Amino acid sequence: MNDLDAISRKASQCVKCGTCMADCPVYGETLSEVTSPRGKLSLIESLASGEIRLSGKLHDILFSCLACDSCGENCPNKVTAGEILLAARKELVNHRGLSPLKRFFFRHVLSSLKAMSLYFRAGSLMQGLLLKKIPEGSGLHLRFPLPSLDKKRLIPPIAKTFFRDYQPLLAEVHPEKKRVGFFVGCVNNYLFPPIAESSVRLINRSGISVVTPSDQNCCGLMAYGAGDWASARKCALANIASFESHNLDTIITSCASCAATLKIFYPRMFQDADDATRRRVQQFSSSVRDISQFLAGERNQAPVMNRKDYKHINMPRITYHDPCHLKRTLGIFQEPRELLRSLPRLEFVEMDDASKCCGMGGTFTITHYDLSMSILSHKLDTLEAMGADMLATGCSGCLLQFMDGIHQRGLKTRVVHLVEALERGQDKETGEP
Amino acid sequence: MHKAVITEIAALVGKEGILTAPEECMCYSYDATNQKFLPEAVAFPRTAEQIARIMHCANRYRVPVIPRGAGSGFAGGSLPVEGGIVLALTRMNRIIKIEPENLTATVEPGVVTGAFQQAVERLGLFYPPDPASLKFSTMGGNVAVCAGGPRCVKYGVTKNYVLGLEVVLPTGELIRTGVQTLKGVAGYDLTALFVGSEGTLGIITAITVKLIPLPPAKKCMLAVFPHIDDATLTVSAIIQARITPATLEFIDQAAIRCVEEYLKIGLPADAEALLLIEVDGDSEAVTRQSEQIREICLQQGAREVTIAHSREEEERLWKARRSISPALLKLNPHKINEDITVPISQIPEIIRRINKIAQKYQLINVNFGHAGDGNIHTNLMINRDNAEELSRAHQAVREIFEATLERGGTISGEHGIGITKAPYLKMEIGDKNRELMQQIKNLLDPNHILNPGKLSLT
Repeated sequence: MNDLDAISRKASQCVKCGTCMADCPVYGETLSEVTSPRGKLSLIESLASGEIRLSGKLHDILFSCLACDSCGENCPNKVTAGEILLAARKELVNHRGLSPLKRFFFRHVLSSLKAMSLYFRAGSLMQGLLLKKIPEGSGLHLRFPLPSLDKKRLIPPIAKTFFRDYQPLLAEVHPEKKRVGFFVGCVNNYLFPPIAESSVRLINRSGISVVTPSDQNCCGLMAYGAGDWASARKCALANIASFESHNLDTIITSCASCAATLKIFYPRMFQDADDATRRRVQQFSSSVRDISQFLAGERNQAPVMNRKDYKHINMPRITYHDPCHLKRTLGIFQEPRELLRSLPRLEFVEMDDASKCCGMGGTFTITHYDLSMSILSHKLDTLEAMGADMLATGCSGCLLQFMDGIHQRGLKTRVVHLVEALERGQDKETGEP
Repeated sequence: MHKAVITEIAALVGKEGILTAPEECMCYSYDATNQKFLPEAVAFPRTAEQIARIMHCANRYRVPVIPRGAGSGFAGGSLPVEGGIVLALTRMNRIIKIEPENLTATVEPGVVTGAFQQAVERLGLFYPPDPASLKFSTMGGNVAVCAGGPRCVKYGVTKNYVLGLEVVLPTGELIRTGVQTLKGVAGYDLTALFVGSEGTLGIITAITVKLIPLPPAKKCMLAVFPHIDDATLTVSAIIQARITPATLEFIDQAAIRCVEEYLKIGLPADAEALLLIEVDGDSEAVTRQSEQIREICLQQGAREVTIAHSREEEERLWKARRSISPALLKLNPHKINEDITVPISQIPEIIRRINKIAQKYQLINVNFGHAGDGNIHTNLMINRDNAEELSRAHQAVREIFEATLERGGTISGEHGIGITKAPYLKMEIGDKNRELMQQIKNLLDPNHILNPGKLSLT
């Protein structure tokens, strides 16, 4: 278990000071050290030294984490507990295997474009049988309980047509203009095509053509997070191949989790690969941009136009939630705010603790639904107190989480993706965001 | 440990309230000393009544019980050195009441100190004790070690705020000590006995503290000294000018260089010392005092004094101080962190002595800390895997303690004795005092089951 020794050496940098307990959203709810970052690090050390064995218990503990990286933010020793934990999950899977359900899903659905599309298409047709429409909202509820899905949960309907199926390969502004690639991501492709459409329109509006290869895959984050690096790598290689053939130097995505996966996690997954593969991955990853970063950059280059003053009464107030993958993994938090502040038809207000995790954590919200919701409840309290009309964010996971929580609490705040806010709040006459 | 103990405790606290798996116990085997002792079970009581019953059970089976807050202590006070059951008090975290009209508040032991401070500050009130761990350490843990912090120089430490306690005795009786009022002299001051007793005499289940009005204004400044002696003499000069700053922090050259290398924030690497000073109170008083302090610093040989004029500038100044601990580990992988305290007038002398001792044993040392109250954090940077260096460090620690005691100081200002300083306790308090402590321990805990092996007691 050489890999485990290497991971354990990193874990042993933790001096157990306890600082992470102030920042860990999961510890904040359970108040049990078993779910604290330093607790998990000590378990990884103990596993490597043979004091404890791989067990179902250990598995459950290592999976009671959002991978939000909050613990790393103030760590005096700069221990990257999130990264260490994800590497430890890989070891867990290598030695204990995956559960049959996960195995089937990651190996045969998530990492296979055909299977994934097929299942979603079937889902789109069948959802009426399993789910019932909520009269007052735009989501669905389970008609009867299913294992692993809470009946209270708001489930967004699957789109009738999927973005990649109808989006042309090239959305061209002008044949001689610059081109960028667009990585759609599963949630935007299958559930929220309008977000993908907004994204492409905004990029086009800055005078740049958009290439959307239809054979791009899932980013693979769910498999990576679950420790199934083999499936995650399969997704990565499919995506790299898909974009390589178009010779693009910039690839944009409007999902923070996809952006983090493509840009940061892919190089990690291939750090032991051969030189040629590593270089290939590195080249792909370095071309990836989150849409807010891209649009803010384009905006700074464009001449600033004279805007009419719309700051009249009744302007909707919008606030912003930092996705963990944007703020902590990619260090992007100023760009979305700059863009929102520049909107003539919306008033941007900062929320308290904007970068506190929403509690989604990918599959965490499925395996730990109640815990996930109580982590979210603090954010909902803040929203309720400030009475914002809209909440913008940049990650599909956060969007799903907030939609569910806001619906359950009956708040009037509307959750939108940043790109939707940018279109909604721009100057109608000039089209300038 | 007897299986029946677990069954009985589980019946009290519920299945959710007890952990017994080795993986779970592992997460309660350490504290900020980074030492490791495995407990046999962890219980999460919710009420004093449950704790009382747990203690009855533990006495019957003679099982050690170790109260624990956030496990952030620097002396090993919450480590289960003889196994047994860890009582995790983190879920007893209600603020029971805040009474602005009486200037008091009552909290359960698991309340996080920083969260409590925020709650009272929203009402314009102030609970000053501010250990560096305040964002995660608990009120119960703070009371158990009598935690201090930078604001001690003006506002004192935890014991200056505790009015009364509710305590479960090791034998399971529930008692109340002290008062809910600002004064009270009925009988021996048992509250004082429990504050700082490091969980060896009872389990604190409720704490009544006094509050003061929140000072409306504060000002922060940083003074740069080319010579270390000028800096330490300035500390005395400020105190002698009858000014009491809210904090008066000292940072030596080794610490400055470390932080600068770590953060690159433009600290003067050629300076031998920095003083970080904060004054608070009415805004006119704050302005006047900060000017006076600036004058004193310059007279005493400061090269420059920067006064922060905004919250951001203030944060920048504090950043240097807060980053010392993490930055230090760049020097060597481990540190022996002592918190000796001397009379304020002895600071220049003790700093000279410590540096000489470190030189003698060829150790890298860094000094910083709460100079305003005489509390110096002296850090010996070592590699624990180097046995020879470790033994030199232990000799150096003993000499530092001797020097401290010679100058009328104490071996621990705010961290406590726990296990790390237990071998040195007698140097300071002597045989008779230790014997008295043991007798008190025997009286309250006849079966020696509450947090055994701490403070050099059995």
